[in-house]
Order: sequence, then structure tokens, then C-alpha cells
Amino acid sequence: MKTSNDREWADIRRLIENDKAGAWAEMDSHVHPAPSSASSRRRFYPRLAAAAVVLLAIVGLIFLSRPGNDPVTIDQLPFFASAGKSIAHGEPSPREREMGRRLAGWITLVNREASPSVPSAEISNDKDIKNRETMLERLFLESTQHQEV
Amino acid sequence: MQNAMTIHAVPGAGSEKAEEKRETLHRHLLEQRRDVFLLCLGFTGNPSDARDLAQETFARALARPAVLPEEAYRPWLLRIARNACIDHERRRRIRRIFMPRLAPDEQDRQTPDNNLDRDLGIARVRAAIRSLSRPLREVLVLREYGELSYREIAAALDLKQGTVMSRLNRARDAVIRMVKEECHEDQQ
Repeated sequence: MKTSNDREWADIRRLIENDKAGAWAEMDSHVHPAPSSASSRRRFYPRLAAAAVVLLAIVGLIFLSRPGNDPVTIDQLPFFASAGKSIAHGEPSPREREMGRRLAGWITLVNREASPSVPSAEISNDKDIKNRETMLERLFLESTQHQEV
Repeated sequence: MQNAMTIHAVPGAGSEKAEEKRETLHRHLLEQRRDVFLLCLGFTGNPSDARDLAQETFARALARPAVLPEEAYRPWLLRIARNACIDHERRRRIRRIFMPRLAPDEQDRQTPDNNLDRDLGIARVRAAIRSLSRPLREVLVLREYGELSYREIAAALDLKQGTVMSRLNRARDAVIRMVKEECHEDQQ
């Protein structure tokens, strides 16, 4: 003969069984077989193509939505925009400044060396051209060495 | 009382025998995953914690592979699961001491699992089992969730069968009493 405790425990046991069945079903539904590498590859290329198409569409929309369809110049591209901005605002970078300084020094030296020996700006013959080239090369080397020192 | 589970180390990796034993272990892990998960559920009362602990159990089993008789794998795995659950409970208790706000009780935690758990009866039973003392809870969970026999429970917990049966009776009485009290409180 079953006592009241047995009956109550039977009810609780039924709840435990329900709990186990529900939790296991839920747990089992979370476990998915890992896709094979072949099927992953099969899915990869269409996805890559779709992503490329979307990207191209976005770029196209950006270009088409420009006011008045003005042609795009290089300084409007993101990569060059900062450089263009600094030049426009008269703020050369340190490298540009250094190059300018070198160029100015070099021109000064050329003028100093060239003025006594070259009375005219016109170059009359091949020998003069050769001499000028040699001299410029020497001066450039000297100025470079001077800058390095 | 030592049970019949004699654990030997798996011999050198790479040999055919070791490979065969590893495959045997993997097969047993797959076969027992349901029981391991349900045992962890019984201890924690929370499916997401039970999932984590089942994974931890398998990781521990794979880290210390053993060569056992066929019938001994299940109690061995369930014992590892029980140890993992006890460690988890200890960690949770320590977290609750130092960070009471960061580590609330699982019963109060609003997880998707808890949201899905609409059956009030199940929630009451889970809460009642969780509030049992550890000796009573271990026996009850191993019996009801792990579905171990009295002999297997006795072997796993290193107890006499009589002790297992008396603890089981006390645990059942306590759960019935707590569930009844909960029902009365809700009715009032």
C-alpha cells in the first residue's frame, strides 16, 4: 500500500522527469554538426562575390550622388585629402619643408658658382652644356654632403 | 570503500593500443553525454551552467584518460561530473562572498533558460534540491538525475548502501516538505 509520501514523491519524480526531458531536448537542439570544410568552401565564394557586389554598389552610389556629377580629383579621395588640405592651408609637412630648404640652398650655390664663368644665359655649344652638367653635378654632391654634415 | 574501478594510465601516445583506448573513451563520452548533462543539471538547477559543467567534465576526462572495464566508464564519468559540480559550487560561493552583486544566485538570474522555464513545479523542485545539504543532494541527484543504482552511488561516494538509502529517504522527505511549503506560500 502506497503512503501519502510515496504519492507525493511520485508527483515530484514526474516533474523531475519532465525537467530532464525538457532540458535535454533544449540542449540537443543547441548542438549542430560542424559544417565540413568542402561545404564551407562552397559557401565562401558566393558570399565573397555578394560582398564585392554590395561594396561596388555602395561606391557607385557615393559617386552618383555627388552634386552636379563633378569629376573626382585625386585630392578628394580619402587617402589624399589630408595632404591636399595641408597644402591648401599653406602648412607643408616637415619633409616638404626640408626638401624646399635643400632646393633653395642648391639653387643659391648654382647661382654663385655659375655667375662669374657664364656671362650669358644662352648656351651656345655642346662643350658648354657638358661643362654646365659637370658643374651642376659637383655642386649638387657638395650641397648634399654639406646638408648631411 | 574502494570500488572496482581501477584506473591505469594510458600507455604511450601513438601506439595502436593507445589509439584504440582513446577511441573507446570517446565512444563512452558520446554515450554518456546525456547522463553527464542531466547530473550537472541536477546539481546546478540551471541548464546553461549544466552545459558548461558537462563540457568541463569531458575536458577533465580527456585530460586524464583511463582504461576501465566497460561497465565502469559511466560511474567514472559521473564521478568526474559530480566533482566538477562541487568545484563550481565552491567557486560560486566564494564569488558571492567577495562580489555579491556580480554573482547573484542562479535562482534569481534571468537567463533565457530561466525565461523558458515556465513550469512552476519544475522550478520549485529545482530550488528545493538546490537548498538541500550537500550529502543529501549528492545522493538524490545521483539517483534521480544520474540514474545510478544504490550500489553505484555507494561506490561513487565511498559509502555503505544502507547510508545511501537512508540519505535518499531524508532527501526525498525534505524536498516534499519544501515543495509543499512553497505551494502553501504561493496560495496565501
